[in-house]
Amino acid sequence: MAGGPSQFESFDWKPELKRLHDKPFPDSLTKGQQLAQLQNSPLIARGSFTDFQKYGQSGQEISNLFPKIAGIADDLCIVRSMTTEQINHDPAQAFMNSGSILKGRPSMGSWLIYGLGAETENLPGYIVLMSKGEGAQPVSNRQWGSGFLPSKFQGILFQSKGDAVHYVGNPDGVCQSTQRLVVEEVQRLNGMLNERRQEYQDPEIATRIAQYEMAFRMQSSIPELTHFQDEPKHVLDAYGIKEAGDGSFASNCLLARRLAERGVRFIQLYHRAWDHHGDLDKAMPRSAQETDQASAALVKDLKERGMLDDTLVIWGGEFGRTPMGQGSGRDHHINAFSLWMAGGGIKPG
Amino acid sequence: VVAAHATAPDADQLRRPSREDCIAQRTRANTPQQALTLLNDPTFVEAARVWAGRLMAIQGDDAQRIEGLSQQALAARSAAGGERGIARHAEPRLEVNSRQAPPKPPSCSKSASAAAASGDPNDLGAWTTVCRVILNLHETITRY
Repeated sequence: MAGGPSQFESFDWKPELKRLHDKPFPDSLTKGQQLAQLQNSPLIARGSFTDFQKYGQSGQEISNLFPKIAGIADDLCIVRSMTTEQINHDPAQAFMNSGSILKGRPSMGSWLIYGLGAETENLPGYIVLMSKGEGAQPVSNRQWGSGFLPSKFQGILFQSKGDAVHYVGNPDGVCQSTQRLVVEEVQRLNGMLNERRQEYQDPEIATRIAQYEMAFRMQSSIPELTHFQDEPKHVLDAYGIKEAGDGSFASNCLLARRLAERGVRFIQLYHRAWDHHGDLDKAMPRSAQETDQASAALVKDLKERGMLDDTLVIWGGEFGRTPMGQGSGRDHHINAFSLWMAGGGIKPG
Repeated sequence: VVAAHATAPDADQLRRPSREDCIAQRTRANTPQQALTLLNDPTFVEAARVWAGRLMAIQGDDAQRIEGLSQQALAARSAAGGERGIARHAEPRLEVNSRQAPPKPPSCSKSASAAAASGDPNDLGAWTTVCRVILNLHETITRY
């Protein structure tokens, strides 16, 4: 949830803040704190414009902007005590992914496939999907970089709109056996290059060889992966998919489940939205609406397929937003924000 | 024309800089999508085909053509004798292939140049295949 969704309109109910609404924010809470754009401005408390209710047997408090996620309240573990060191988007995302704002550190997904390997030989072990709503900030491709690990362990960004991967088909007029021959010959010659350059220990050659093998396998695995037509209509409806591969978060969620089914170890879905410095009460409901149904559908779908026990779903942004208003929105906030997890052995409810 | 906000897939996959800013270091690009682009994007297939046409115009035997190929793509960076050997090594297997099932030249007819159109189509197909191999080598696409 790139951009920093507001915890006050999602998963952190603060009745006291609502009482303080439009009043000066207590100085004792903000003194000496780092703020992004609100630095040196008068600080006015802003209560949530949404209503919260208790949901499920566990009675988790969730905003009415997320009715479908509220419907799986008993499967969720909401963490309201998140903090971060970084107050701007790119370094905060880097801090979330790699634990450092410095370039050149491997991301979490890279470490995972470096340490645990991948369960599929036909798809990359770490795949990234991207979608976009209102309040979209750019996301740098270093967020899924492998840093100082060989680039074999980097995340692979798929297209969300149209073909997930370009050029999976052989060139016109090239049969499968010729294509295989080309790839084998490239592999053999790259292998000889690798031997000749042993003394330089260049892992990029080994990566190149691995990626060509993966590319050849993806020529058959990708069309099958993205063939949403074999999903029954009720599944598409559950996610709220209007058109498969339309670049929406919903379409990405279903693709994520299909990737998880095929043994992809680490899947990241960025929904670029949520940077609501202004027009919070209009933009936040829209961003929530874009993500609510599909997020809940993904958890339910994984659960029905018995996959939720060994799949951890994490839903959250790189930071939260201030309890003080910023015009019609909220500024970046690093001292407290919320995310939720489901599955993967966590204690729900 | 470079459209920074509507990058071509190959520009994306090769992490070509947008030219909006000066950059000191390009991001590493070594992904399966890059491999697929270099293998299957008509731009590169067509380049191989045109290159094959040029090789066929060389008066001489296959060894001399292979020599020309390695001079242009590989030896230009390092004239070591071993590199020419690598290029020669690629050839016998491709020759076997062209005997067993003569590969037709890939049909990127939309932009196929006149040079690529002349000559025996089976030869052109075989040489296009050789050129595709060379254009996909780590050594060709990486600066040493």
